[in-house]
Amino acid sequence: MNEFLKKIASILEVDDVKGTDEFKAFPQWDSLSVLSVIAMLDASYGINLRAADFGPIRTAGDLWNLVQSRKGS
Amino acid sequence: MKALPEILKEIRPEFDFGASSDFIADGMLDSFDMVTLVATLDKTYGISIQGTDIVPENFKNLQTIQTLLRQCGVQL
Amino acid sequence: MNFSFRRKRISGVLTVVPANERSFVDEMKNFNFPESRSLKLKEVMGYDKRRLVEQNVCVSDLAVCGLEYLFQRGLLCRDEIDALLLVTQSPDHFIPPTSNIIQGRLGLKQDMLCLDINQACAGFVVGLIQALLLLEQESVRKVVLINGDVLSRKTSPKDRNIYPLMGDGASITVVERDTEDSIIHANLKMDGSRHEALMIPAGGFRLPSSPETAVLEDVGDNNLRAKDHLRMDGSAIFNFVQVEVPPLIESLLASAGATNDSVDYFLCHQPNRFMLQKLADKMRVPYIKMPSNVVEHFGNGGSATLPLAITFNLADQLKSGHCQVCLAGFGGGLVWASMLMRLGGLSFCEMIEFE
Repeated sequence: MNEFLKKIASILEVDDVKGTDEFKAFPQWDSLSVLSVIAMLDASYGINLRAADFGPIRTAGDLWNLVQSRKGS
Repeated sequence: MKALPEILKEIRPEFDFGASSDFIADGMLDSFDMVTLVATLDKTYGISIQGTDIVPENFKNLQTIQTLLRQCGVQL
Repeated sequence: MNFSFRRKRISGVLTVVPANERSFVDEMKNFNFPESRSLKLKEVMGYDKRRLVEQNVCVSDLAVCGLEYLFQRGLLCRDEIDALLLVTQSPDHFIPPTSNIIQGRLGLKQDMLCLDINQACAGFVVGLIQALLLLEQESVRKVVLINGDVLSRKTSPKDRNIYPLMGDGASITVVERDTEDSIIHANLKMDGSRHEALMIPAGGFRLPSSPETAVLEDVGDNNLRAKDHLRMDGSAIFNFVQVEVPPLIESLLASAGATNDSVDYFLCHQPNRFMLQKLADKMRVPYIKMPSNVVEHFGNGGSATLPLAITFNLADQLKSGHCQVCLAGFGGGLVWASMLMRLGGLSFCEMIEFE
């Protein structure tokens, strides 16, 4: 999960992100960063997500769980 | 170096690409945007996307575009 | 389909462009697109300036201007012209043939063939094939091939897909017997099933022009055009060229026992710089051997852009020497054609303006 959090941090242009951090709290969180996360998830984890899938996602940890569940299928 | 999401946003700033799974069908990229995108990607990544790959199927969404980039040798 | 012709050559090329010049930047405000997007497109496609005729100028006007220029300078004699081929998709009238109108306006002899050929951007090569076929006849010693269009008059100023790249113009190419034992190879293919990729829907007999066909409509891509206007499926045409043209040229070179290296210049129809550079990449031809600079100066004037690429880039070289050239035309129909020849020692190779 650490690698994952580092990538999220890089997209949000901050030094580090914790699993419990809420995305909305970051000033850089906008539609561009959503797009960047989607791109990163495809490039690094082979997961296809859309902005609509982000509905129930609040924290980086939520996103990580989603990634894990998708990888299983 | 600009990343793909940023490049897309610069070409059509009025659209939310994250909300679409088919940029072409949803009217977010027309054939000229595709050409502009290819020219920008060629320049950004130092590649030359083949003319025969400039088809709507390859530009449907982030995933297909990134697949194309990977095929051109780009490390994403 | 393959062709080969012996002992025939091009002896002169003249191109005629309207003096009236327009710039893409000045016209951007007509389009329904933000300026920044239009500017990016300008940079990528290589749009800049183009030449357009004034409202009531026709193809015969451009042709007569060019031919009179040649007559006046003793570069061509009226009575020597055994055949006048006019390749155009914008004739003066449906009836009579515009080639006859030109014949009449110039007082050419009666003992000759005048033929209108309806061909689009492959029309220079197709026209040359027709000229060379005619020269197989003893009675035909000199053919004048004219390629000309005034299609800017049939495009919508609010269609950003097409309007910024349209240009008008004409070319006059003299084709005759060669004293050298030269050989010209050519090939072509056609696919009518894809004819809708480039068409003017109304104005013929399938859908005659009416007040309804003149109405500007948005077909869903934010451009406005009427059924009377030229429309192009840009993606389909782009892909067609990338897929079909390289194998055609490869086959031509193979049948002639030639290679890319033995060709000095690949002279193609000039749709836009981006497409030609991608084509050059695919064929592994360095850009310097495949000129792509016509659209940014003159616009895409249909079949005349290929001869325009010749007079604009190679005038001095072709008057004083020779080059091995591969010509390639591709466009509406769909038609794609190529030709390999030794070109040079021209009596004239220049461009004039039509006022």
